[in-house]
Amino acid sequence: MSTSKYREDETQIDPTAWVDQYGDYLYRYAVPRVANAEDAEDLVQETFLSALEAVSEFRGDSAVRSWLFSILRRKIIDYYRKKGHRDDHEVYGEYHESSDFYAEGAMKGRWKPEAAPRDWRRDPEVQTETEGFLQALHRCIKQLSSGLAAAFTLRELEEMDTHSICKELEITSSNLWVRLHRARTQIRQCLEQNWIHPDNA
Amino acid sequence: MKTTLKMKIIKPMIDTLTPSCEIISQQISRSMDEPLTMRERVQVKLHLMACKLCVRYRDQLLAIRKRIREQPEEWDADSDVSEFRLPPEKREQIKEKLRDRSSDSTEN
Repeated sequence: MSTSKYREDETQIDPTAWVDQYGDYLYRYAVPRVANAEDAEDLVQETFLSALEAVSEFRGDSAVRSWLFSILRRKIIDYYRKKGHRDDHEVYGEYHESSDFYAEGAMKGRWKPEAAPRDWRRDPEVQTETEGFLQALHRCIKQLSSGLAAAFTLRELEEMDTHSICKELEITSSNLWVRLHRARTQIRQCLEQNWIHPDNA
Repeated sequence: MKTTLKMKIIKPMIDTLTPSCEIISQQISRSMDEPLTMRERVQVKLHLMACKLCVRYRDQLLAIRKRIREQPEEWDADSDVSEFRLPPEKREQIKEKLRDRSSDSTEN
């Protein structure tokens, strides 16, 4: 880690100056990870307030920027911890009647024609590199229920391991797998319908 | 002859013998979080030989993950950056709170 870039801030600690210096970075990190812009603003505010409280513990042995990010990441986990277990029942309910994706009856468990993965216009790896992908993904994450958004965000955006996510959200691993499968399936479909093939969804 | 055999016999056989797309797609998703058992891996592999929909599902999910991991912090890279700025009012509000709190602590 190069810390020289931040050396000035380490010797001269002024939390209000941090707001100008790092506020936008923290905000940009938070926005795609929470439900709306207001929540992102609040998390950034809480991050700076916690930083002020802990400022005596900050000894400048890590860069201010990464220290602030570590506080923000903790705030994001707490944010989902508060929202997370509220809709356990909703998640299981949705899952057991997963009839919007998979067929019932003789074709039970097969993809329903309207939910079946379509061919993307390009190879998936090329397609996801094209402009606008992240914005489209961002919009699709916003459409998830909070229980699914918690699982997807912590696993795919924060790259936490499943054991830690289960511990933080106080859920079982099978509950997490249900949520992740559900979230990924919805996001895949959302991208396809709204971004890849918006004309004939 | 060979393709006919594959289409007419092997494909329906795999369809019947492997779990449904619902179960397979769950396993594909779970394989992104932990290793599957040997039995599950074989089931997925067989199913994917016969089901192009589940192949698409897997390839698309993996591509989405790959793209996110390449650029975890730079969501703003190809967007209108102004949309991702901490609003000035909020910025001032936070500074105000920081000043209040730090003067509280020096008075005490």
